[in-house]
Amino acid sequence: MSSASLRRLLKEYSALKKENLLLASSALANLSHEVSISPVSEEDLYYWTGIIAGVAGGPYEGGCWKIEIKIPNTYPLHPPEIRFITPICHPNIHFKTGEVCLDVLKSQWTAAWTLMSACIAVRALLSDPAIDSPLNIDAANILRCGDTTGYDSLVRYFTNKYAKLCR
Amino acid sequence: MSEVVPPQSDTRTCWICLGTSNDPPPVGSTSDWRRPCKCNLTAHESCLLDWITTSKDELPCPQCGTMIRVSQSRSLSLRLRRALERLATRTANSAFILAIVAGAMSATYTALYVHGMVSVFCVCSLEDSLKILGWSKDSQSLEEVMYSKLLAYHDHNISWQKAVDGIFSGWWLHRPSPVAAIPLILVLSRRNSVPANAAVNTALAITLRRKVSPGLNIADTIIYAFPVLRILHGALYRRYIVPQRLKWEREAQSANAALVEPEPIADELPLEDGVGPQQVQVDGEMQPNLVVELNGNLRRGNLGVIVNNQNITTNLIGALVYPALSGLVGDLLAKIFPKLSKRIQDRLVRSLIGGCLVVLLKDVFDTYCSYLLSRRARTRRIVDYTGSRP
Repeated sequence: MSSASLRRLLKEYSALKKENLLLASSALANLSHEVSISPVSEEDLYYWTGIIAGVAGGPYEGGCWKIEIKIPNTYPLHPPEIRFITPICHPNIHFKTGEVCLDVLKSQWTAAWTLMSACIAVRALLSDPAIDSPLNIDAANILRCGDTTGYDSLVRYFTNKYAKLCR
Repeated sequence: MSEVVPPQSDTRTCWICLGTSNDPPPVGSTSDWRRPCKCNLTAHESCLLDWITTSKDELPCPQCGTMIRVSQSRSLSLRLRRALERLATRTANSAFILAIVAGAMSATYTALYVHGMVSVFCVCSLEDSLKILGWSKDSQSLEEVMYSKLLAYHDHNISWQKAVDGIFSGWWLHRPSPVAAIPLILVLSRRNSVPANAAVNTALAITLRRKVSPGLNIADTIIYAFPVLRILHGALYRRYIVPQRLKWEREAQSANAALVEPEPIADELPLEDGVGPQQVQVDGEMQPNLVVELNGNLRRGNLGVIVNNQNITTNLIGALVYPALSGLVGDLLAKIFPKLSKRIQDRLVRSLIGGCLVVLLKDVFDTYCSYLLSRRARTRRIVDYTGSRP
């Protein structure tokens, strides 16, 4: 285990815990958590899971997706691997494997990102798909044709089918 | 972002490890704080050096985009190596294009020639055609042998079987010669299959040698011993030099020596065991995107051995110029030590000795470069931003 990555993960974890306490005690508590992440066990800070909530007003509204985060020993020099466990219909996310195609999780990664900010970036990707690098070609093709109504209803269908349970 | 503590009075936070100035500094490094860019980001120097990791001289700050500058000692040898690598890449590229152009041209020429030739034969009498094409009965090239036989057949001097035999007897001129296989074998022998290499080398040596001297003399002895020498050299190199070089290269990659996990890796490495120099491609001039790609391998410690595009071309050029270098060094040796040249009359033997010397020199130079890289990594410092901050 690399001590540098562990120290950094501990820092991030304690900062998150502090923030959660702050949220719970304040009026902001009823503001639904849009993204929440935590390590599966405190023994192993290199494997986290989390929940990403769909942005209100978009086709992903009302959905909650479980994600898993695998962190390399060389973190933060190298990006964490973020994968959707709950199936999601999105041009840049593989429907079966849950793999996410996002530049900041690949070539544009810098150490200034944190696990939380990376997950927020993934959430932002939901409402801002990039059709140039699709992992879900069918979804990307619908968007490419400009059929936003069709795309929205398709996404809504899958959101209702798979991601509705947690609310 | 919640993780980034807002700048309180004098608490600094490293944007890489998120450690603050109240925390103990990262293990095994200096706790120097640096502000290398316009913005407010501060970081530990060792963290920044790990972030930059490669021999790249600068990288942009992720927030303000200011180039983070690194100062490091300059070295003539490293620059020479880099220049050689660049030259090799460029040479390889132009040679590749040249080969394609030459191949296309000769193929086109042959096709045109054959059509022209056939046209002449279609229109003129055989004798006239031969005159037009400038062929005589006692000439030697394939076409000429062919047509002298055809002519003889035409004149009812020989049977058609004899004519065909005669035509095919001329094929030795155009038969694929083992000489054309030399460059292929040189390149192929960079692969790491030792027995296959030895077999190929010996076969080539026998084929070529047989034409010069049928008997067994000192040159043959050396040639046949060459594969053994190579295996021996490869084994010794892997056993003693590679671990040290990898250690140095890893130190060069990570400024923080504590990150480097010492692992006995030499035996598992997919090393290239070639006849020429650069048996092991331990590349110090690694690009940052390669580091990212090697994400998983980084921990296992074999990040030094990378087959990237540049290494393939340097390898290729290295293999192809190896005979020329060997001959050159052999001749140089003879010039410098006239006594030696008197004792060793055979130029081939001198070239072989020269070849061995080339390999040894290359090993020494590569090892020295690895050492320089690690030493340079130790002297690497992040330069604070000196301009005015907004």
